[in-house]
Amino acid sequence: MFRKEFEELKATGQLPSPSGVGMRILTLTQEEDCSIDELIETMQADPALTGRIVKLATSAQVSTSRPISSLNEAAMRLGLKTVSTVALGFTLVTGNRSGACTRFDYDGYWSESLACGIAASKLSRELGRADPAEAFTCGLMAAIGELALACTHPEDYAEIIDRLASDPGLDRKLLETEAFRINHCEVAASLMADWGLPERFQDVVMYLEDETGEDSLDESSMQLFQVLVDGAIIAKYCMAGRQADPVLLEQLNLLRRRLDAGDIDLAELCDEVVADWVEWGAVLELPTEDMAERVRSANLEQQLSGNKVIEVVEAAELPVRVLAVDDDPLSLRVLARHLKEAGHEVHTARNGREALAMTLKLRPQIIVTDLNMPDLNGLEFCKALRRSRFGKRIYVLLLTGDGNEERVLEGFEAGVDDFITKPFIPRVLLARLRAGIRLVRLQEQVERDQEIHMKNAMQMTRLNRQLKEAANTDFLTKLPNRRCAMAHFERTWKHAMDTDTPISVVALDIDHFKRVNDDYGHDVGDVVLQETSRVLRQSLRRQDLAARMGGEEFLVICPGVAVDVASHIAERVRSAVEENVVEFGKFKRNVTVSVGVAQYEPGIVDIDHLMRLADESVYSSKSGGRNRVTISPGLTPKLRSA
Amino acid sequence: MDNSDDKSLLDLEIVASLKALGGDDDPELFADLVSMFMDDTPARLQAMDEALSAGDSEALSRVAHALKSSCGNLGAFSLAELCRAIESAGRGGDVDGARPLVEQSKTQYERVRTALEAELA
Repeated sequence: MFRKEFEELKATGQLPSPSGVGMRILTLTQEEDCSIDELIETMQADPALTGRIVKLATSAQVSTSRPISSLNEAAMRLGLKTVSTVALGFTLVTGNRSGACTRFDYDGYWSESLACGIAASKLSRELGRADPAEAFTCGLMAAIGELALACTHPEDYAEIIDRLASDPGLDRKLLETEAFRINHCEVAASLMADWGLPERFQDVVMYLEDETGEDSLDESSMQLFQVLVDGAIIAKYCMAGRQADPVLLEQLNLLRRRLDAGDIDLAELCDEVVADWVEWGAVLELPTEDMAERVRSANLEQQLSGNKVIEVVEAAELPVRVLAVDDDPLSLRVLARHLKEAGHEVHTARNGREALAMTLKLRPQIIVTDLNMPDLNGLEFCKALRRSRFGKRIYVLLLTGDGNEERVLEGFEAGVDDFITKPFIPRVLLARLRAGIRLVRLQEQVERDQEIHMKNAMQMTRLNRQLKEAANTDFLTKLPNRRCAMAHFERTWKHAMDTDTPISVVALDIDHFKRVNDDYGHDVGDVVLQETSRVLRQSLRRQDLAARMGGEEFLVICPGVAVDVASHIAERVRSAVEENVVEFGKFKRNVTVSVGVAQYEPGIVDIDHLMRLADESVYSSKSGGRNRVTISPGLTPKLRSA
Repeated sequence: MDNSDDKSLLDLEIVASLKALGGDDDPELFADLVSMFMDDTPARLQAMDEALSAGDSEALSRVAHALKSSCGNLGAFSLAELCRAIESAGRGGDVDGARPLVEQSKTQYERVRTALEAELA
């Protein structure tokens, strides 16, 4: 939809891009036959980059075991794809630190992005959702669209930044679309697609600022989305500190409640994020040390408890956005002056038509309008307003030339909330206005409460889904666990019986696993299990399901195929595991698996029976010297061998 | 002319409150209002004359209404009252009845103008 617009941006040659090494990494990863060594060599050409990647790999570890010391190890831990992505992110930060847009705060931008990456990564690790290293990089690059627009349209974007600063109620994405026909989220997603980053990244940044964004995401993007949304809130707090406004504090309050459920303390988490932020700031040469002062001197607990929803009566004294409408310039000038004097943000329009257009753009909370005007009078204006979704909620105060009851009644029928006769007494006007503000505030509070309610309900749904997922997943290898495998097996088995189609299973056991654990420690054992799971998953067909059944035992369920195909799959797995060198610390070698294959045939009574046959073949493989595949002879071995 | 007549010609309390309303934020407010008034009113009076000769009662009441608003804001209540009478005559289709009122308005406007100029000095 916005492909053309993005190509136009690209044609300016001003889009942010990874610098030297980053660009080479990008080209390499887009080649089909790029080797690990080539990539690692490229990264090592930049010692600062290497240091940063190693540091990140260490901080993104789930268990806090030994620090990671080499790029090889980092690649092993994070996976090559993630390491490349991380490298790309870092070269972006170092290569795009200034630009032509006078209003764009480049250091501020990268500092906030860095805080977002750190917070998202921490949340990811603490909650066990998404991948911490991915969360870091995606957080670092999530707002890249803003930088891109500032670089490609420095002057127009400066104007947008100014408009946003003078009226925070404006919608940034809307302004961007008006000016460039593409908004920063779309730009970010396009850039990421261009750089070949994971599709998840694109989905997540596309919907990041969308309140209902989660509905559009699939399961794997959802986790990343969630940690990023929350990370962005924490990042905003890092930037604002003691100057955090009530809206941000309200968001933090909600976040704190959400985190409480996972037994995470928001204030502690913020402290950790800030400490890392300062440390990373030094590594990336960003002024986070100075910025951190604002948040170090703040007391989040106090800020949150002080941010009680403001009393409604008190709130009636707070300024609102008012649109004043009158065709007589002199009257309009006086009216606007009175409203401004009372501290409100005042905009003016000279007739109903103009007022209608401005209402859409400015979203006033209160409108004070004259009755008699050419080009849509006060009543017609009000009727039109009440037909629009947004216009229904605005408080309308009508100015009438006389107290003629018929006219007043007509006004109420058209949807005005109150009226006042001209010439008005200023104090009466302001008193009536306060009554209106009180109503507006009450309504806003009801809406806010509803929103909190809805968010909590959504949170519950999400939590349930996560619990369900956790119950079905092996934590270490992320493979389905025994419970999940058995449920899946029941369904597949039933389907095979119903449709009279074949079904086979492959059972595997890592050879001499106990020895690995004893000789190298459990950390290495864990890595071996993770690596074997990864290789296993990659060697399967789409419709096969692999599960960790416990210890070093795995099971693959292959629907629709007899033992001939299943044994091919088994052999593919066996050789892939054998070829994969696992490297971690002092450990640097491959492991092997003993495999057994069995297919269903009449006479096999149930799932357990079929699994038992496969297991027996695993034993045969073991006793036959390990690292081999044995096909179960089935129920009638004598007949078959004859 | 007695005092109460003066007050309805130009209510000095309103004038004072408008001067105060401008305050430090908008010190030119009162001067702006007066110059708006002096720029617009002659044209409006002329528009009323034209409406009278064209027998256009609707235009007459519309222009009178607009002038009434301006007068009310400045505190020129007797002129505002004349406008109100013209507006309602116009609404009743009574163009002839409005004719002497329009004439009175012209004289009254000159007096309001003089009073306003004195306030500006």
